[in-house]
Amino acid sequence: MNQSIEIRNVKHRLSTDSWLEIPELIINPGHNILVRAEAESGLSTFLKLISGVIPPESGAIRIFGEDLNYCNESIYQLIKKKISYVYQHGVMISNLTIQENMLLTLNFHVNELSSSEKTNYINDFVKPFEISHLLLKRPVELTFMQRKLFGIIRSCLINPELLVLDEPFQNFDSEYTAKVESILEKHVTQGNRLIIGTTLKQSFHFVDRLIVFTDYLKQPTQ
Amino acid sequence: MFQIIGDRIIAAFTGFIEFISFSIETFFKIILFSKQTNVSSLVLLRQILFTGYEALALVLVIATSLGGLIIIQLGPLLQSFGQNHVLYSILVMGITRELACVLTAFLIVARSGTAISTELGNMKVNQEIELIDSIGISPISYLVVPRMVGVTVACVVLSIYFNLAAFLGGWWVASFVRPIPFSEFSNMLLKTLSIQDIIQSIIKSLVFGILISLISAYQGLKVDKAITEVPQRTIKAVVYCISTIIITDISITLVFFIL
Repeated sequence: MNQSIEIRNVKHRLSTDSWLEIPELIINPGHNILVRAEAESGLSTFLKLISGVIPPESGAIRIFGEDLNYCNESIYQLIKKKISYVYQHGVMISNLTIQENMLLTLNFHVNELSSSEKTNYINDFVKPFEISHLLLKRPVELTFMQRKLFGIIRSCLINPELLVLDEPFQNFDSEYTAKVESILEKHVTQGNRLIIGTTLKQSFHFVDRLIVFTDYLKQPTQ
Repeated sequence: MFQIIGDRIIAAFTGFIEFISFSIETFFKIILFSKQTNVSSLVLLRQILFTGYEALALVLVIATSLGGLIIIQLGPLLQSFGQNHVLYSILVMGITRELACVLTAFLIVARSGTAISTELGNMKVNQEIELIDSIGISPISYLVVPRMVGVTVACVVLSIYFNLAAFLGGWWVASFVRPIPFSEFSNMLLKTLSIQDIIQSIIKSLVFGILISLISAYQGLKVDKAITEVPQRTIKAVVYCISTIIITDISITLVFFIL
């Protein structure tokens, strides 16, 4: 299977007076990418587009060689297992506990483990971050940082080949920043890739390519 | 003026076409649902529990009262004409063919239809639907199909319980005012009740259950970005559900009448 993400002739409206225009962008395998943007510029939409969460209004995006709008169900699910998107605000399904949220991803993508093995796997995964006691709570009972951290953990549970993160360090204190960095380090060490979208000016040693988001942002004044 | 009317007609027609294609997609996704029972079965069980089990007490109270009222009100009147046996025809026609399925459906609209529409609307605003899709799970097969199956099963079962409670409870309530020997009551009722009445009642409940769940889910998923759209869509879901139930009820009754 082709491992690249190819974006061609994409136009997508961000607001009433701005839109994304990407004539051609190819993200090849083997790179960990940082997408740098200004605040409130539509970075989340850009990241959702390149990870196949939302379809473009026009143009084509081929993720791992497939256009998700036209492929069959089994290929769609296979690609969704390979690419995982982490929401900026740590979105969780509100009527499920954190553990049930985690299990939802595992139940859908992992068939070889029994129910108790999946629960143990989640507990083992979460243990180093000292937040196991929160697993039976509902998302609304958690702080923003806790919810966001669980969002990142949930995305890493199925060990996706490509992890797309929207502002993974925003509003985090040093303790949580260290926790997230350790998750991302582990992810990269396992041979997987990252795309990090951020408005922060910090740099990451595991990133080896920079995409400047404003190159694709169009506004009437430009 | 004409443009406003024209625009509204076009919008209504487009909405109807969208709803039909949503319904067709949901029926196709039943196949996918059967392959995803590891993630969807919990949603189905919770829906049956909420729509069926938790509404049972309310259905039983309404059915018992209704059955009792019909017997108490019509019994003496029919007796004065020497037409006691007509009471059983009225019970079967009124309760089994119409009221059991229609009132059960209205109760389900009030409890589950509004709940489905509100829940899905809030999930849409909070990006939870998008999240489910991003994991690779089809929101239709994970959220809509179990709700449709759950509401439909609950609607049929509650309708059966409504019938039983209206007849037995009705007889019990009426026995305080106008006692009828149970053997006479049950014999006459079973003599009057035909297979066609039962089939008609089940078909109506089945169709109502499907319609309530599809309309409510569709309206919930039509919420776009603002939380203020949720109550607006919920109101639309209730209005469309009630109108559709009445129109469908008349249509099915006419079909059985012609047949």
